[in-house]
Amino acid sequence: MSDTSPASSAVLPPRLLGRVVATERRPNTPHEFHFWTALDSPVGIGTIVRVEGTHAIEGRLPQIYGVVTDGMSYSDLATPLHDVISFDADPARAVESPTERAEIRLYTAAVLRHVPDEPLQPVPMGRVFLGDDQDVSVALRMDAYLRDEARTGIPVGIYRAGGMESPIYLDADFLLGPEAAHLNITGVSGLATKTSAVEWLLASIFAHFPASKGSVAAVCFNVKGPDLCFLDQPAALEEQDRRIYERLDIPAKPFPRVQYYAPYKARGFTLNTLRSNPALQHNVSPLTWGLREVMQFAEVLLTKDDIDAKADALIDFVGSRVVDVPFSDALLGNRQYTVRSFADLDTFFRDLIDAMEGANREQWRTHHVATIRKVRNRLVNIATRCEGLVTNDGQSSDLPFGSFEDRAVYVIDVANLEEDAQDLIFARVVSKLREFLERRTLGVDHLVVFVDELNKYAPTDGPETYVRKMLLDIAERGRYLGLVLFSAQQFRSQVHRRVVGNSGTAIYGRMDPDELATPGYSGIGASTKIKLATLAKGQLMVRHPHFAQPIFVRFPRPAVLSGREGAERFPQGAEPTLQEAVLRQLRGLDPHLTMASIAIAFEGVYGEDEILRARDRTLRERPTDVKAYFLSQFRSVVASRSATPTPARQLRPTPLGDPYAT
Amino acid sequence: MGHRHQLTARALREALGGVARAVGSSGASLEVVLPAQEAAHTRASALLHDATMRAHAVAPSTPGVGAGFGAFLDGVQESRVVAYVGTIPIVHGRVGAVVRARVDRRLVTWGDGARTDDALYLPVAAVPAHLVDALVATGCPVIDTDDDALPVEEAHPRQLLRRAVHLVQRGREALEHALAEAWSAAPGDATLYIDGGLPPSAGVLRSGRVIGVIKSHHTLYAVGPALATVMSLGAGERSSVFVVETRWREPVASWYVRLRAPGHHDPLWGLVRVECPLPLLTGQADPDAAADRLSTNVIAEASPLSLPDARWDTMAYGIRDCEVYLRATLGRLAT
Repeated sequence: MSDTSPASSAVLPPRLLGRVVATERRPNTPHEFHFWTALDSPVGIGTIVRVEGTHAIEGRLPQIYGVVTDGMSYSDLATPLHDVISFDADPARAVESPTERAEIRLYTAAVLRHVPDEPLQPVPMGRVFLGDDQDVSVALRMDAYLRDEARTGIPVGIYRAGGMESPIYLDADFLLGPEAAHLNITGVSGLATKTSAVEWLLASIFAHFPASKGSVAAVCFNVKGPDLCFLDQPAALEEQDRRIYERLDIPAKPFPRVQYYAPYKARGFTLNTLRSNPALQHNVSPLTWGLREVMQFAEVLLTKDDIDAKADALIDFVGSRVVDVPFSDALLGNRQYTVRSFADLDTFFRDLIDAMEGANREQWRTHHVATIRKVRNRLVNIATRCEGLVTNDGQSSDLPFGSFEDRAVYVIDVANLEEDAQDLIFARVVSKLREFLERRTLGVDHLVVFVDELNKYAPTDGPETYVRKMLLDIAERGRYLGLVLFSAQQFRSQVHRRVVGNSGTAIYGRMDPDELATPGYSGIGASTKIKLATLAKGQLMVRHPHFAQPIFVRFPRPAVLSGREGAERFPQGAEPTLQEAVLRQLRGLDPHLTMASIAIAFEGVYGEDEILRARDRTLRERPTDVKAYFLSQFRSVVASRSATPTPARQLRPTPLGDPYAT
Repeated sequence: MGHRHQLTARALREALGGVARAVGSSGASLEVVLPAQEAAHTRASALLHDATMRAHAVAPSTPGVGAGFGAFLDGVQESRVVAYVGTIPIVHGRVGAVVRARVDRRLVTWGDGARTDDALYLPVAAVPAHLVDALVATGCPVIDTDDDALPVEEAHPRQLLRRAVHLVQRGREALEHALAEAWSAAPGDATLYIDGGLPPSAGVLRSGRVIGVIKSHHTLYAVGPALATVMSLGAGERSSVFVVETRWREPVASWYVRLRAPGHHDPLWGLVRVECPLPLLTGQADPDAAADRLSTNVIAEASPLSLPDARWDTMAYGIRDCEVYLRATLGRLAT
């Protein structure tokens, strides 16, 4: 464990940087002060400093901690023209000048903390020291949650200044609840900030989340490219990165427990994920739902303005009375319907409409035929939009709700899906997580849900969608359940303010200057904005409830392969044939299974649907004898026999006078 | 010197009691208020080497060659009337001086820092003895401004003030001289640039490590055609070297250097007079070459400009730095 005790810094004397100054025009306040330094002082935007008070108050010398937010330098020149004249407008002569002009480095710092807290006075004209480990800990109030007896610190990175490296911790109680919760990350795309930061932070949480607080797991939605597709694959780390891992006592290893989920592609025999390399299939599972599961969240896919109360009532009726239960009706000739798939549903609707038309009826069980046509159209359309997610046999293959494992990551790859299917998956998964967490039966006590591209799912403006409502719900009430939202986006200003506002911790990577010009960033000084707009990879600005001001930290590159690296090292497998795909998946259950042993199912006797159903069932049931179970699901084949053709009848000759004869 | 507590207005008020009338310290200092009375005059001087006064072109400084001067010395003073006992003014004078050494082209304070002092100036005999005692008791030195040539009862108050300012100036010069001596006695071979004439200190003059540069020209050390030559020096030229002899100091070598082309300015604009210990030139095989070298160093100090100081045409940046330093350290002081 990294050491934040005074002993670690006691060997070095405090490093004097400068001196507090104030004028009538630029006075110091309890919240801000100014100080000057030598020209070679290791001070910059984000440096944490300590001011030593000059007069004891109630017997105690005040210590004021601050973070540099702005800096300026100027010389004794009254006008730039004087400098031009000094050197006859020849810059080369300036080098020959025997003396450099007097120059000042003047910094402005925002107060992080006064010790003692009361009375809150303007910052005194004291000496300014570079903050050491202990100072940083006190300044950021980390001392409150790094005590040995109640340690809830989660390392977020390293603060560097003047050759020193101080670990920065977030408070688990304020990151994962219950005091505050949620994390929001903003940064431009392409600099590996958002995804990397989340991967790093999850590793940190898994390593440092206190055992006394219970178990924790993460569900990550991979919404673009192969970003999160290789969390279980190690990356090559540089020495400087390893040092940070070591300093913060976080294993520089990939996540040991990762499970991937993805729906099938439209044809249904390969999973719709970029993690399709045969070498990585051992922990990839299909994510498929039956009609019932989809119907529960049909609202997600239906436009509110389109679905009125009448349509809503019919959808409710179908969901509760028709889907997955035997149904019959006099109008339908009392035929028994068991609707388990969208195909069954379509048949049911078609029969119903035909029957109503045949009987010349406009109403059926209070529902108008036009409403029935509309609902049929919308519901059946869902199947088209969510191909690969919906099974034909009504059975589902889902996340292990109820048996989530501690320190496990569950990645749901929705990157290649239609937007509607993404919404449906998000809504249902989060609802189920919430439901299980409410009952305390999920398997873990805390769950982090990571969603990227938040400005797409919870935009500031645009229609009120089911997904946005869910995100707001998590942001506002999730912390009581242990459901924590880690969200990321490129433009924070375009995300619903209640989502970002409820994020107790905010992280900023390199920012777009236009984004920084929006009103949401008005509280950040100009120099800090410039620093944010030019942040290097691996640097972040962190806001946390314990930190009075944002702090800049560095974090190492994640110990897992990035999406780009992973895609290069594990290229996508070639599109397999149906037989290859089924074999590959069944080998997940029985590695000794051979192509020949199941070849009989692929000899053309059985349809693709039939084979896929058998595969799904086998995968779901996980039988001991995989081959036998798989093959047992095919209907018996009647032995073929040669048919004797009926002798052809002699045709009569054309009658004479036939008017049609030529 | 410089380590005791400064005289406070409260201590002064208590010392004066009801005997004297305190005067507020607002407004300009006596150095600014009292018009200068020094008469301008010319004086013929013996030339050291040349037969007649003439102009010498000085080679510009060579880039990359180290600066000629290692440090700069200047002092400041400020005098204010703090009270009147009847018609007798009591003046509080503050003085300071500093050497600013050049390290890596930046100026830093040399030695133990600035030397400062302050004192109360009054004609002691003209003031009640108990009041003098009370003033002494404040801890601030009391300096008698009595002048046999000017009986107090006949003196115009301004004459008394002028006398006090003159003594304050002496105090400043004493600090400057002490620093110049300290520099001369310190190890090293860097040359000190003094604002003003060389002090009458044998140690300083013998060290050969101190050069004086005079910006004001109340006395011009040339007459007739020689003066015309001096007044018409072009930028980067120096005059012939002459010897300046005074009662109070060993003779020193001196010459004029034109730092900047006068253009449409006064002929004295951009003109300084350099003083160096006589042996520094006479001990050289080629005194003119030595004068040229020193002149080159003086001209090199013309940049950066010491603007916005009004005397920027003749003031070296290092000297301005001394004044800025003293003002910053001592508070607002007149120069």
